[in-house]
Amino acid sequence: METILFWLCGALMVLGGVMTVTQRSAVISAVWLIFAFVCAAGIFAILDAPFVAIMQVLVYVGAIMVLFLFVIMMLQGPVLDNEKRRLLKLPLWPAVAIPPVAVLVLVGGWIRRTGTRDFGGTVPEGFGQPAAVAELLLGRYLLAFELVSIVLLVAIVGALAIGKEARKLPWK
Amino acid sequence: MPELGGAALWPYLIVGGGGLLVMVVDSFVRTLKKDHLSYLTMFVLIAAIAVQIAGETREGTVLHGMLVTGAYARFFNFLFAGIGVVTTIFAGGIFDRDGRHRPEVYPLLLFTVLGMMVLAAANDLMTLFLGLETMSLATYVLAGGVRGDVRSSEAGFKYLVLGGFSSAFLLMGMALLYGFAGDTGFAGISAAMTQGEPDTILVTLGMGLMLVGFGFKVALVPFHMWTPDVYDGAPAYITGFMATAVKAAGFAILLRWVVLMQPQLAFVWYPVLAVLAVLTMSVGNVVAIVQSNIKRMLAWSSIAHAGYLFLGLLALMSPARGGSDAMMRTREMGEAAGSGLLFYLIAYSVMNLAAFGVVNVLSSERGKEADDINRYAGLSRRRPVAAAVLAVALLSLAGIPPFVGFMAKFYVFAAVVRAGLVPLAIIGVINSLVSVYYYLRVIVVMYMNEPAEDSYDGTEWVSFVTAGALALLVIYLGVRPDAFHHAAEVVVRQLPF
Repeated sequence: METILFWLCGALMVLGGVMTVTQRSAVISAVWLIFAFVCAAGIFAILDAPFVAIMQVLVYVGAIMVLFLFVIMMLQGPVLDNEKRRLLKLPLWPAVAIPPVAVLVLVGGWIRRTGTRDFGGTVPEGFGQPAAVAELLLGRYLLAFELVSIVLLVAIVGALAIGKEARKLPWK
Repeated sequence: MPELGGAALWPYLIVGGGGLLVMVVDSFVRTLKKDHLSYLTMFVLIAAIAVQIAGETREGTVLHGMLVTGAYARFFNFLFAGIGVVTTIFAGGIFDRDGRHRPEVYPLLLFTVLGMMVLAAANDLMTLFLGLETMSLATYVLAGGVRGDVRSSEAGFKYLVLGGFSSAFLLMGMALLYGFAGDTGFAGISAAMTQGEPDTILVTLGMGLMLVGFGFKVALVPFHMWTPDVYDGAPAYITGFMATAVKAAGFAILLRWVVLMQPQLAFVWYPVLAVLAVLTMSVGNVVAIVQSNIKRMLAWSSIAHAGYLFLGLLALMSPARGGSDAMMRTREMGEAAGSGLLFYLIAYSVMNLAAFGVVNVLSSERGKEADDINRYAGLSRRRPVAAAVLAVALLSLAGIPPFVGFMAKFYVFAAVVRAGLVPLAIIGVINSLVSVYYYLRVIVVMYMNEPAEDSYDGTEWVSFVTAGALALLVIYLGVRPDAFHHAAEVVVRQLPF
């Protein structure tokens, strides 16, 4: 059952990826990318990581891709001058495609030579469940969790302070 | 180490909460005068110092081993909060005079101090990185946030891009170390290092990459390129803050990290680090000679001082090991080097803040920094106190005897000689002789040349008084360094060697 699901999700994800880069319309590309993300979430779910799967759908599909779509629709497609258009027509795909294929071949060869190893035995009870993640976030990593929020706050304040003109600042 | 309760967290909570409070007060309270924000910031920092004095003094870890509190963290909390107070005074002085009002400076300053405090107390790779990033992100904005000033924007942008790059190195090194130890906690890493045969490639590479990240923060020579531009472009009060507090924070974590990694680190990277320390001192001092811009000159001199500080680290980790007798000697050497390093950080902070304080006050024209050395001509006649303060600070930076810079160099070089690294000590002394030339040149211009039409002038007396007090501290600590040095010794003794 798991194997079937894995191959199904994997094949659909590859299909989604290929469709994303081959579509002419940016909006349709984005929709295919959403499809690929959902399939990736399925693979996370198979890998005993339901929390990551949910976050994948919520954050990538729900938030980031919607933002992408908004941007694409507002810009109404990229406006390219002739110079850039000619650059796009160059056969660039080998440069993009060869490195991942090479990595796949290398890793495949390595696995064939050494055999698959059992990394770390069985998964503990409740691994990857939201409760387990929450326990880590609010337990051992509580301080790190809070510090991240300070880092983000500093980033927001900094972006506002640098990006806006003096009289438009919200605090003056 | 025992796990302590939340009481040990108070200084961190006060500084972090204070940053939020200053932001909220700034946006919602409309009836405030401009300088009230700086009073509030100072109050927060002083409250943090007071809580630190009154509060938890035991050694221990907090929040599941994420932070380690105790003498070492307290020492650096005092240092960071003290530098923060002085910076707030300098910043407040210049805002009120010419309308260069930057309210975001105060919360960002507090968050920077929080990041440094976390960094100095980090006991886990997570807190180390987050502390470092809190500090760095806020300093990028502090350096680059002067609106309408192209050089400030350039400084902020360069710092951001190169800083992000160096953080990537640090993260990669941390990932490799985690992959080796299977734990992000310092305790787990050090246990994995001492148990059995360490995976040499992972550990060596990981340590090397982390050194690149730290080296960037303290401006070690191959990673120093950002320093002159950023120190030059940022406003003088921020440059003083970066040159003292950020460097101290970098060395705070470097010292603990070196102690943690000691055997392996000394074994593999020692020769490389020795070469880098020599390069750092020499390049910093030689390039400083040709500068005509005082902020750039102080930037190169701060690179050279990073080299002297690195000598102290080298003495700390010198790979002399053997029987129990040698172990005893190593421990003693390590304590001498560590306390020398901490004393150097205090001394360096005090004298550098005094120098930048004077530069800051003289930057009175709107948007113009007082950075041309030739326009300091005749300062001794126009503003005798300012000239005297700057002269004391520069002589101390050069390491001339009655001032604290001499004692600091003495402690560090003595530890280096004790560790058997005589050639390094000789190179260090030669370097500090070279440095006398460019420090003295400013003094010559101030005292020997006639004041010209375009000479700098400044009248903001609160900053003058603060810089003057720092200069008095430079003299006092140079004459009576024993109390502070003893405190540094006590702090270092708490570190596990």
